[in-house]
Amino acid sequence: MNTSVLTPFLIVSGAGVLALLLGVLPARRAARMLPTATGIVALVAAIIMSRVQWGGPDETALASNYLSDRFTLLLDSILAVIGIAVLLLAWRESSSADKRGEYAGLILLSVAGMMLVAAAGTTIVLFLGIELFSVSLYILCALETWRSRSLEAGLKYLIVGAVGSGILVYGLALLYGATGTTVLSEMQHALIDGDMLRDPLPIAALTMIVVGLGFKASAVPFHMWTPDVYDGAPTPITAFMATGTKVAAFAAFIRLFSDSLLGMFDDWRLPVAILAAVTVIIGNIAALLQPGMKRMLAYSGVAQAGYLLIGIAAGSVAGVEAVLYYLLAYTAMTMAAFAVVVMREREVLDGDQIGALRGIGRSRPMMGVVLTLAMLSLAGFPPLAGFIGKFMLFGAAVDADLTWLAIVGAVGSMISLGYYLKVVAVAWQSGPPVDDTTYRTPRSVTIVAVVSAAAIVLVALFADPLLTLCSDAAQGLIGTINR
Amino acid sequence: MGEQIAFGLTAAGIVGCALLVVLLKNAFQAAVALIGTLVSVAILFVLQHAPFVAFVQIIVYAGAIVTLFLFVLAYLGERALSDPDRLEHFEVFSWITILVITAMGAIVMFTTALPNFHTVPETTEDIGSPTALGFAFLREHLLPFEATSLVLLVGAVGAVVLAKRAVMAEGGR
Repeated sequence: MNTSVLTPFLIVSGAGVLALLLGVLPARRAARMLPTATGIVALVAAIIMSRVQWGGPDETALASNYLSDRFTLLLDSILAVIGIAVLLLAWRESSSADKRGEYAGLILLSVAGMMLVAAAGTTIVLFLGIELFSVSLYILCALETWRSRSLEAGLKYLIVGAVGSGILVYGLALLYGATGTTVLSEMQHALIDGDMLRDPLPIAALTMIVVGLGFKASAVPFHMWTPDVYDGAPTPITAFMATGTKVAAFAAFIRLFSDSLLGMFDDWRLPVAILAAVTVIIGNIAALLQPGMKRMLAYSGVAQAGYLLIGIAAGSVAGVEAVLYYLLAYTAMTMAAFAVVVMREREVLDGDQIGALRGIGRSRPMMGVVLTLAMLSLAGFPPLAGFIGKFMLFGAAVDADLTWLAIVGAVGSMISLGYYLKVVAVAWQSGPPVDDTTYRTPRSVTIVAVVSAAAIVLVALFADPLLTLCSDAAQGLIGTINR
Repeated sequence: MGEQIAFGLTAAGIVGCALLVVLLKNAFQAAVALIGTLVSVAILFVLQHAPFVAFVQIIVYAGAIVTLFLFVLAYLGERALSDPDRLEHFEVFSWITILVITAMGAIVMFTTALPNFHTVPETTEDIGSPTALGFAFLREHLLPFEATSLVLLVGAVGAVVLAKRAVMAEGGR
């Protein structure tokens, strides 16, 4: 047993606890700076450790509760990058003024929970990881306690999240009943050996797991909470939910569906495909009707979850590879979009409305370019990262005999042009720019915006090595199945 | 045979008391009904030859946790729901959900080929003694054990962060 493979998780969770402690230091300046600084250092360390372990043999630690394969390491790095970006976005955020320690600490513990989901070797760890990041997010959503919208978002997320978790844990319990094991890699064999593949018990379990994870990934019809919670939460936290939760939810999907439940592929292929199709259509149509930037991005996030589900429905290495690559691209473009919203929201009243972005491209070309890149990539314009990701996803669907699903995805992307291009048009519109206050945006927000925009281009430019990376991670997963 | 009768009675106790918890209008009575469910679960543990877990279940859950519930209820006092009619339109959805889940459970129970499900199960090895529990916690399930502590830490931090502000809003410090 090699516990050193847990290092990325241990660093981040330890730093989370440390940040909570540093937040109560008597010196005001130290209490403000140190938690965020600790968090960034720890997340960088976690990325370095993931890089060091990359290429080593796949390991299981702590009685196969923790899997350290390339899938885990790749997702650990993505999650750590998301964590750094969110900590930077939250720099000088009003809600964190006197709650620095809690703010940074909960973000770190949330990232640790997401890492646990990615590394889960048993259903227990999978569920605990989901709970760890969900509970942290319920609190983070409600952190701006003087705003009733923020409290509402926290409460709504808590209730809906609890329902989703309840259904998920019910499904996992039924799955345990059917297989007699909680170890993900043994479930496949247990189902085959016990001749349980066509039994109603695992099918009932499957249904509940799809519904439970559907809540977490905000797939239609379990997406109702998404716009309200995204709208009400502090914007850096919204950015965190849009990127981190999605990565973690799809990590859980991949661990369960491309690994343990692959034997039941024929049973879940069609339901997941239908879920994906409905999510793409409803998400895109609803996004057309939103006046607020945060609500629009929430529905666009729902639609993006639909595209990712297409890759899951393909149930192949190519599908998982495409999901991983698209998660990379999605993280970069969503983070860039939210960085602009964070900046705008602090500068002007009603800054989260699309109208508040009018003329930003003319008055500040850099932000205009960032926003344009993010929107074009989300819409899937070639040659940006979003296009390559969607191309891979739809291609995997076609290879898996789901051509109709690829067509639905393509139609959804066309609908999405309607709202993504509207934002681009507004940003480059001439006319008087919305009144600029003298508020100076912290440099950290600008850095996140520019780096994310650069990442959109780089992820496309270096698509080849990155796809090899994703394919390695996906292959590693298939490797654990055969073991 | 005797064990099956005992199991049937306990299971009926769990489901019956759980229904009471949901259906009783008075929150205080519902919390008391919860004791019935928790004690019945404790009896199930005894049937599994796990007396230690059974007593932990009674002391921690039926004892401490329900006492906390009752304390909070008594502290808040009887508060009428502000607008009970608003939610009545949605009651039909909860009934649909209940029917679907019940139907699913019934179908699964009557058709599953799970071994030991329709026959008398074999006795298991020692799973409930303090020794077995200690090994389970600190060897087999060490990571879940520690992860749970993190979840509880987050919960405690959240309660303090959110409640502190509430106290200030009500004119506290």
